[in-house]
This record gives sequence, structure tokens and C-alpha cells, in this order.
Amino acid sequence: MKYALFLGCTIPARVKQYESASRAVLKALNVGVVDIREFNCCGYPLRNIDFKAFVLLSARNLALAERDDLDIITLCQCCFGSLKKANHLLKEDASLRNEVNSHLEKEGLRYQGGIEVKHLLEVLYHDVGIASLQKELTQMYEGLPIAAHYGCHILRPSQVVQFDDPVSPTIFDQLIEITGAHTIYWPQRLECCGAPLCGINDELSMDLSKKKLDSGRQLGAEYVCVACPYCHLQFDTVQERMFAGKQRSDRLPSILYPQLLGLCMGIDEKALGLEMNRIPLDGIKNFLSSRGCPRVLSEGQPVAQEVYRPLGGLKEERPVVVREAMAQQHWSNEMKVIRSQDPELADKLTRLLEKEALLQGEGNVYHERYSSRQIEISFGKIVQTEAQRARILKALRKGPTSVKKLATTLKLAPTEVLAHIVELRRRNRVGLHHIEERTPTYIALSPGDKG
Amino acid sequence: MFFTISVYLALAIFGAGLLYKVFTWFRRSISIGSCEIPLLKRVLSTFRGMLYTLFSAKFFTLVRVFIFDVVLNARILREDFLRWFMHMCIYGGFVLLVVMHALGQYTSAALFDNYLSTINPFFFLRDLFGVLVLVGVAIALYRRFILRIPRLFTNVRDHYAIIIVAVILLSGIVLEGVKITSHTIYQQMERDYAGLEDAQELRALEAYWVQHYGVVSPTVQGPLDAAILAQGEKLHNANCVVCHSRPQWAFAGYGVSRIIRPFALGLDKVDARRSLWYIHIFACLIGLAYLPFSKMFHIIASPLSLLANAVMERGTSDPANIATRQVMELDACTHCGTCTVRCSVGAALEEIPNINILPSEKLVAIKALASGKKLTEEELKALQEGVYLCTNCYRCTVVCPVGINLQDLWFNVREVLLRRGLPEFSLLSPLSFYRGLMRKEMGKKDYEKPLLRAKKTIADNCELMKTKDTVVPLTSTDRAFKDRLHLSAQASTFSGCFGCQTCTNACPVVANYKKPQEILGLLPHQIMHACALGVRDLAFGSAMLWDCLTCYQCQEQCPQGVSVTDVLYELKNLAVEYVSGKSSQAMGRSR
Repeated sequence: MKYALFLGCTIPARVKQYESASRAVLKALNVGVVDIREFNCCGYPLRNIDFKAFVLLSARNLALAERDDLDIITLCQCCFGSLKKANHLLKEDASLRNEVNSHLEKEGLRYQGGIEVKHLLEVLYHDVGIASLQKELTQMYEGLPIAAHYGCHILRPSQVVQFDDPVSPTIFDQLIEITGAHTIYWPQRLECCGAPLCGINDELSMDLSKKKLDSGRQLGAEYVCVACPYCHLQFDTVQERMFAGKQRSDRLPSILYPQLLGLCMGIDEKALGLEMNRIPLDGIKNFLSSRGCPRVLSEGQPVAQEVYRPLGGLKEERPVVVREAMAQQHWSNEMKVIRSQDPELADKLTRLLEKEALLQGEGNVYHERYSSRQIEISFGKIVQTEAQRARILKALRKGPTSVKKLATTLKLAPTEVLAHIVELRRRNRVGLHHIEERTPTYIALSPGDKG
Repeated sequence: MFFTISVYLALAIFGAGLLYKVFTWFRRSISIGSCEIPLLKRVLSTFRGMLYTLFSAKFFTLVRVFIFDVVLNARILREDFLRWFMHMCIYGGFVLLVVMHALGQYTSAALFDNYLSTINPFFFLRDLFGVLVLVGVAIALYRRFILRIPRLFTNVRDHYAIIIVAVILLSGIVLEGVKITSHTIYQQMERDYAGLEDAQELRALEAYWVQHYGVVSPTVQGPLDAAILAQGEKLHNANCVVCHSRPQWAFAGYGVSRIIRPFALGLDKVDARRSLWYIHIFACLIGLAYLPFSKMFHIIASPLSLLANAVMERGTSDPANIATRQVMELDACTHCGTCTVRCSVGAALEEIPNINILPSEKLVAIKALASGKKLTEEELKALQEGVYLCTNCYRCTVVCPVGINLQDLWFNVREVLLRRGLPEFSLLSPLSFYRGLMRKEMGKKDYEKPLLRAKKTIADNCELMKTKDTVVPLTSTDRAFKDRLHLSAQASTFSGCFGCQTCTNACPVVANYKKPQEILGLLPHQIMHACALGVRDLAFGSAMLWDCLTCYQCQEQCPQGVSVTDVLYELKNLAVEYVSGKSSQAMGRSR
């Protein structure tokens, strides 16, 4: 196995540890990498400015690798997305290809579409394989919860990148789990880290990062694992800056996948560049267990599978790792409130939420699998609405109140409160108490009351 | 007399030029902060810094850098063997010639008792060094004019450098060839050193010299008698051989003498030797006098730059010294083009015809800027764009053979230019990631203003977006705009949109706000609709366009296969093109 290693611009300049760790890991796995000196920028940042410049820059890299008859392996997901996209476009569009080649010919290069572009994770999963990876491990982690951050450009647009299921991916989780760490389920997992807007709209960029990191932390992760230098810089450098600027009170350290894997393979820390991360990673060594390796896969752990290819073909039956009904854990507060006001409704909702595992596994009656996001959007909405109604009921038990006062106390919009009141009246849980100077007040009804 | 005056004049001009150049290092500034540092402070800080470094552990770093980078040109060797060989030939050969030959009276004579330029090894070495330099010049010509390395540009200063060296060397070698054949010189030397009176003896000696030493004589010609030659040899051994090695040792000059043999008598008659001597000497003196103003100044500035680079670092070095260094570095640039050849975005020049994308050309423009030259608005815009179209990958800085801190230079010049107030649309791309990381290096206002200006310029050009709650007439659909949306071959998919709003609901940016429409203007599905309606202003004018993360959630979820993200990319490109075109039209020039 030999690939042309494409580093891009960000890694050699700002995330050198990703390069050194990847080289060490690939060397230990006997994957040969060749450095092509003439590689240039993949063109990703220029795509906002000039489309043809972006295609030309990517095409030049593809042509250089083709000249040496090597597939490209890249560590950065933005590079991966750009090179894949350019490859895709050039294969489809002959006039674009000719135009690009007329420029490349000046340097004695030619794009013919003969090579493929792969990401590090793809190579590790498909070409090296889970079994081979497990053989190389000398230690494993124990009790280490990790938030796997896939990143955007490795999953989408799925027609072009064809890496994993874009809606319910598992490859990165599987790769992390062979090290013994377990990946937590977090609703924000497939969201963007916000890096593309750093420097353009910093507030928005940091808000998006914050959401992700908070979610990961809340659900118990000790580290967030990434496979892209931009994501890493966002979660490492930018998070550290937010922490230093007192915008965050706590840090979720970011670790690059080869660093995580490398420690289990017994690769030297200096080579992995652990000390180069801004947010310290020393704690991770405490999770390394001294028990022998490799561990035998226990029940319920995923086995290497064929990756779902969205283009054509029947979906194959495959056992998907089913995580605990996250939904129940996630909305436990809301469910508590609902239960306190209406136990019957709470039971109904619990039964509904239990369906989550089924929907993520087999799917609904049409065999459509739901993604975590879809579940969040549909179920979450229901649970939140009912929780709000339950809170309104609770407040009304204390005494008759008007819509306006309820809105202020519960921090909701008056129209929302009114809509809830209407529904609760329909259910005979709330009744009109009296009208005070043209403002109606309501009260909670006990069962049996007519109001 | 004339010669002495010329030499002193050349030295004086050289000295004055040198002083002027050094003065500019302390006077001029590149970055914003450095303008405020007074001249005296900069001078004193430099002295303090130099003394401190020389008497510290860093001294050994300086020695190492001097040996490997300055003398042995290790940085060039790391990049390209041919270029290293070329430079070693030129600079090594030239330095040795200057020391051994030009200054022979002072240096070689002091070191060697028997120094004479016509005696081996000096005789041979002079030609050897000369040919070495010419080999280097030949390689230089080959690199720049025959190899046709893409994006390697050659300007007037490069031409001058090659020409002056070539003229000095070639005139010297031809001069030597002419001297070898010159009968006048032979007679002069004979008179001064042989002291013979007998006509027969004179004839014998001359015959020997014609036969073996390449002299072309009008009187002694044709096949020569063996006896006469034998006598000549005896006389030669007695009078001449002490100072004269065989001319074949001076192989270059000798080669020339063989070629010019047919014309030697004629050349002697017109005293070609004297003319050539003048050409040779004046080429040297002109080279010397003009040195501080030409590319050749790098022989002084480059070693300084390399040494400074080895021991200076942003954050730890005195800001006054950093300011001085930034100006000094510009003079160290030899326009070798290494940075350009290795630039990550250099290839984009084919599509974005702005020569300032290339690092070596950026530097040329920055030199002009630093010297206070007035650049036109077009030139400033081009420079600003070129300096911004950089991914900050650091490669140019790592490979620069003279140790110029290019990355720092770009960063500082970028901010200086942005403060002038010309809108820069490249800011609205991930090229600004580095700027975002370097936020702490500048004031909040200076950081935000250029971004707001760029966004505002685009928004200002979209008339229809300015007034909310109006009825937009749809009869004037911009056909041209709709037709333009096809660059990426997927942008035309907007026509499949049926307004289900899945894209908007999947968008994390939209989800981030309680009232997204207020902040973002138009939402993704509305932008798609604007495209379908052909209302260009609405498509270009919303903040959503520039706040798009390109995370592809919308495109992935769209049930109609509308490539939402790709359309947005296309709109970004078209918006910039449209607005730049409009503003240059407003300035009365076409794009």
C-alpha cells in the first residue's frame, strides 16, 4: 500500500502534531506514504472567491499524483472535500477538464481522472481494516468516554465523498472504539464545528463551537476526537482562547485520532506531539489500562461492515450499534415535570421515546431509518411542548393567573402561553376563573371539575 | 592617474550608496506600529541588540548560520541542486577572483612571496575561477530563458546582474586572449626585461615565443628553423621563464587567442588591448559604484538577513529591531523565485491574473511601497488582493534562501493596506482563518472594519435589499443573471426547488438564532427562490450568503436534489465579480 500524502496548508503551518502522529501511525501499520514536493493548496479557501481557481488548484494536485501513479491520502477534511469535489466535477464535465488541462499542460501535467482521493480514516477502516488495527494495539483505554466529531466535509455531500452514511455514520465511532474508548451519543455530533466562519463572523463561529462542546461535556465526554486540522484548531486554540477570556468555565480537550490511536499502539509521545495541543492532554494516559490486548469483542460491539453506498443498490441488513435510549436521558428533566402533572401522559410519552431505538435500528414501517437529528426535531418538539404545558399547569395550581403573568414567570411568549392554555382547556385541565378588567385569569382544574 | 581617480570615484559612490541604503533601513517602516519608533531609538536598539547577541550563547548560532547558510548556501542546496551549483560557481568564483586577481597586489602578494599573475598556480587559477563564474552565468541564462519554469519572472534588475557579471568576465578573458597574441606587448616586455641587443638573439627569442607562447608577429612567421628555436629556448630560460608559465595553463584566454589568431595583427594595430582593458576595468568600477542600488546589494544585505533571522523572533526581539529588520530584509531579496515556485496558491495565477499573488512579485511591489513611491488605486487594489490571496502556509518563509520572514511581512502589509479603506472581498473566505487566529495582534476596530466594509460594499450594490416590506416587481427577471448560474454545472439545480424549506430547517446557522430572518436577511430557501425568479439583488444581498458554513447539510437533505451549497458558492463568486465590476466601472475603468 502506497499513497501520496497530501498535507495541505494548515497542517504543516499550524497543526504539525497531526502530521507527525499520522506518519508514525501509518509507518507502524506498514502503509507507505510518499511526499510530492510540488503539491499546492487544495483550493478550498479560494472557492469563495473564484470557482475556476479552486478547480485548477485541486486539479494540479490530482495531476501530480497521477503522474506518479499514486492515490492521494489526506489528513484534512476540507482538503478531502475539495479534492473529491474537483475530481468529481472534472470526471463529469469534459469542457471544464479541457480548460483545466490547457493550463496544466504548460507545466507538463495532465489530469486524466486515474487516481482516487482518500481520507486517513477511510484508509484505516477499509484498506488497513479493523482486524489489522486491533492486532497492533499494545494497550487499550478503559472507561474513557469520547465524543466523536465527524466533521462536515467527510460526510457531505454524500454523493461525492462516499465515505459513510451521512445521516447515521458509524465508521469513526468504530475506529475509536477499537482503542477501548467508548463513544457517547450526543445530538450535536454531526454538526459543523464553526471553523469556516472564523475570521469572517467570529461570534457565530464561536457560538456553534460552544454548542457542540457544551453538548459533549453535558453528556459525559472527557475528550472530543477529531480528524481535521480546522476542527482541531477550533476546539483547541479557539476554545482555549474562549476559556482564557472567561467566556467558558471549562474545557473539553480535543484530541486528534492518530494521537488517540498512537498511544494504544505504543508510539512515543513526542512523535504523537501530545504536548503541542493547547489544551493539555496529559490526563488521557490515566485511562490506559494495563490489561492485556487485544480484547475480545463483547456482545453488542460492532463488527467491520460494508459501508452504505447511497447510490443505487439495496440497503443491506446490518446490525447497527444501538445506544441506550438517549432520548430518555436527554429529556429527563422535561419528563419529570410532565410526570408530576400528568402521569398518564408521561407514560404515553415514555412509550413513544422507547421507540427511538427501534427507529434508529430497523426503521419505521417503511424501513426508513431515523437519524438522531430527526428524532431530536420530532420527538424533542413533542416533549418540549408537553413540558411547557406541564409547567403552566404547575404555575396555575398555585392560584389564578393571567396569560401575561404566566408569560413573564415562565419566560415564554404570550401567544405561546395562550395556545397552550387553549389546548389545556380542551383537555379539561384548565378552566377560566374570573375576568379582571378585561383580562381573563385561569386556574388548574382537578380531575372531575367542570370549570 | 586616470585609473586612480576612477577607482576612488567608484569607491566614493559605492560608499555613499551604502550609507544611504543603511540609513533607509532605520528610516523606513513597513508595519503600522513601526512608524512611531523614532530613528535614533532604532539605531541604538540595533547596536544594543547586536552587542548583546555577540556576547551571548547565540554567538554560536551565528557562527553556524554563517558557515552553513551564508558561505555554503545550505538553504539553496536544500531546495534545488542546480541552483545551488550555479550560485556557488558565480559567487565562489567571483569572490576568489576579486581576492586573488583584482586585489592581487594586496592579498596574494602578501601571502605568497612569488606572486605574479602570469605564474602558476595563479595563472591557471585565474582562468579557472573565471570559467567557473561563466559556467554559473550560463546556468542562470538556461534557468531563466530556456527552462521556462512556470511563474518565474525575470525583471530589469535580474537582467542587469547577469549582464554586468558576464561583461566583466568575458571582457577579462578576451583581454587575456588579446594580450597573449599582442606583438606590441611582446616587444614592450622584451625591451623592459630581456635586455638583449643582438638582432639574431632577439629574433631567436621572438621565434620561440611565436612558436610556443602564442604571440602573433608581423615579421616572424611561417615554419621556424629548429636551430633558431633551440637558441630562443636558451634565451627564454635565461630571461623569461621565471615569470611566465606556459599560456596553455590560462586555458580560457589561450582558447580565445587561438580563435582570434587570424585577426590578431589587425587587433594589435588598433590597440584592441587598451580598449578591452578599459571595458574590463570600467565594467568592474561601474559594477562597484552601482552595487548599492542594484540586485548585487544582496551580497551585503543577504548575509545580514540570514544572521538576523537566526537570532530574532517576534515576541522576544525588540520591536524597534524588528522594524529595522523588516526594511533590511527587502534589500536582501535576490528575486530568485524560490518562494514563488513553492507557493501554495501560485498556480491560481492562471485564473486570477494578478501577479501579486506570487510572493516574489509581492515583495517587489512592497519595496516600492516602502520607499514611499505613490501607487495608483488600481495598483494598490491589486497589491491588496495579491497579499490577501495567501493561505499563510509558511512555505515561502521556510524556503527563502536569504532568511526573509515573509509570513510576517505579508501579515503586516495586509493590515497596513486594509486600513486604507479599499474593500477587499477575499476577506469573506477561509483565507481569513489565519487573521481570525491572530485577532489579538490588532485592535478590535482594525480587525472588524475591513470585514464590515466588504459586506457593506456588497450590500450597498444590492438596491432591492435596502427597503424592506416593498413589493418587488418580477417582470424584469434578470435573464443574464439566471443564465450565469452554471459555472459549477450544478448551480442550475436551483430550478428544482419547490419551497419545502427543508434546507432552512437543516441549516445550523439559521438554528443558531431566535429570529434568523432579522440577522441573516434571506434564508436559504428564499435565496433559491430569488434565483428562480432571477432577482439578482435578493440573491446577492443577504448576509446569509457570507454566513454560510458550507457544511452541506442543506444540500444533503434536499429532497429535490437542489445543490443548495453549490448554488450559494456560485452566488458568492458572482456577487464578488458583479460588485468589483461595478466599482471599477464607477471609477471609469473596465475590469
